[in-house]
Amino acid sequence: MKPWMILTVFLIATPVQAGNVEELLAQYRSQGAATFNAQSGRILWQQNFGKDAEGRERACTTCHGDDPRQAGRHHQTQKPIEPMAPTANRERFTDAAKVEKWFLRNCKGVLERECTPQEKGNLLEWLRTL
Amino acid sequence: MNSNWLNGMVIGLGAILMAAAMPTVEASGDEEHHHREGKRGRNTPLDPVYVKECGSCHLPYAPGLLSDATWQRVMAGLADHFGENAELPEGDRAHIARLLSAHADGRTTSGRETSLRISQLPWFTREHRQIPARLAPGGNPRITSWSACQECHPRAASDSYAEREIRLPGGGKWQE
Repeated sequence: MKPWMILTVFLIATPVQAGNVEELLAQYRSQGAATFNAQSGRILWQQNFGKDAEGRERACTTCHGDDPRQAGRHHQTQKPIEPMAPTANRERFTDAAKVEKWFLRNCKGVLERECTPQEKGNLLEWLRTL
Repeated sequence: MNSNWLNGMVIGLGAILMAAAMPTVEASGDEEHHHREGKRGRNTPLDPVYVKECGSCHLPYAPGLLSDATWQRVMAGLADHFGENAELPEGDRAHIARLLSAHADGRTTSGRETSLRISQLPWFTREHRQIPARLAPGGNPRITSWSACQECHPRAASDSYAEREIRLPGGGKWQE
C-alpha cells in the first residue's frame, strides 16, 4: 500500500464529533453571533440568576456542577447527569437537535428566556476547550 | 412392559403434574400486598421516545401510575413541569401523550386525583406512611424528593419495588 493510501484511510476514518460543534457554531454565526468567547461562556455557566419558587438557585451549576468534566446530578430527582465537557463525554454535541432541545429547556428554566446564539456559542466554545 | 416400569411412569407423571400445579407467584405476605397496590406501576414502556424524553431527568414513570386525565394535564403543561421546563417538539409530545393514554390507570377517575404528583396519590402515601420522618424526603438530607424512587428502590427502573430490596439512605435495609 502506498503511504498516501494509508493516510487517506486515516483521514476518512477520523471521527466527525468535533465537526458537529463547528456546524453548531456556524449555525449560531448565521443567526447573528460574533466571535465566540470561552471566558464569557464560563461566566454564564457559573452565573446565579436568582432563586426559583422552591428557593433553589437558578444556575447551570445547580444540576451540572461547577466542573463540566465531572458528572452532575439533578437537584431534585438526584438522577446522575453525564459530564458536559466533550473530553469527558464523547457523546456531547454530536446531536444538534438534542443540543437545541436542552438549550431551549434549560435556558428558559435558568435564565427565564431563551439563550441567544452568542450565548450558546460562547458556552460550547468554553465546554470544548476543557 | 413390566409392572415396575409402569409404576415408575405413574409416579414420575404424578410428580410432574404436582410440580406444574405449584403456584409460581411468591406466596410471602409482602409480595401479595405489593401485587395488590403496586401492579399498576409495573408497566414502564420500552418505547425509546418515552424512555429518552421522560427518563432523562427522572425515572420514566410507568403510565399505569396515573389516570389518562392526569397524564394529559402533565403533557399539556410541560413548560412548567413541577418547576422545570420540559418542552418537547410537538411530534414527540403527541406521541408520548398517546402512549400514556393507552396504558394509563383506567381504575382511577380524574375527579379523585387532586394532584399531578404520583407521590400524593392515596395508595402511595399509605405505602410510605411507616417511614420515620428523619429518613424520608423532607427530613433526610440524602434524599430530597419523593420523585427519586431509585434512591430507596434500587430496581425501580425494572418496576421492582419488593420490600426486601429497600435500602433507605442513611438508614440501611428496610425493617418493618
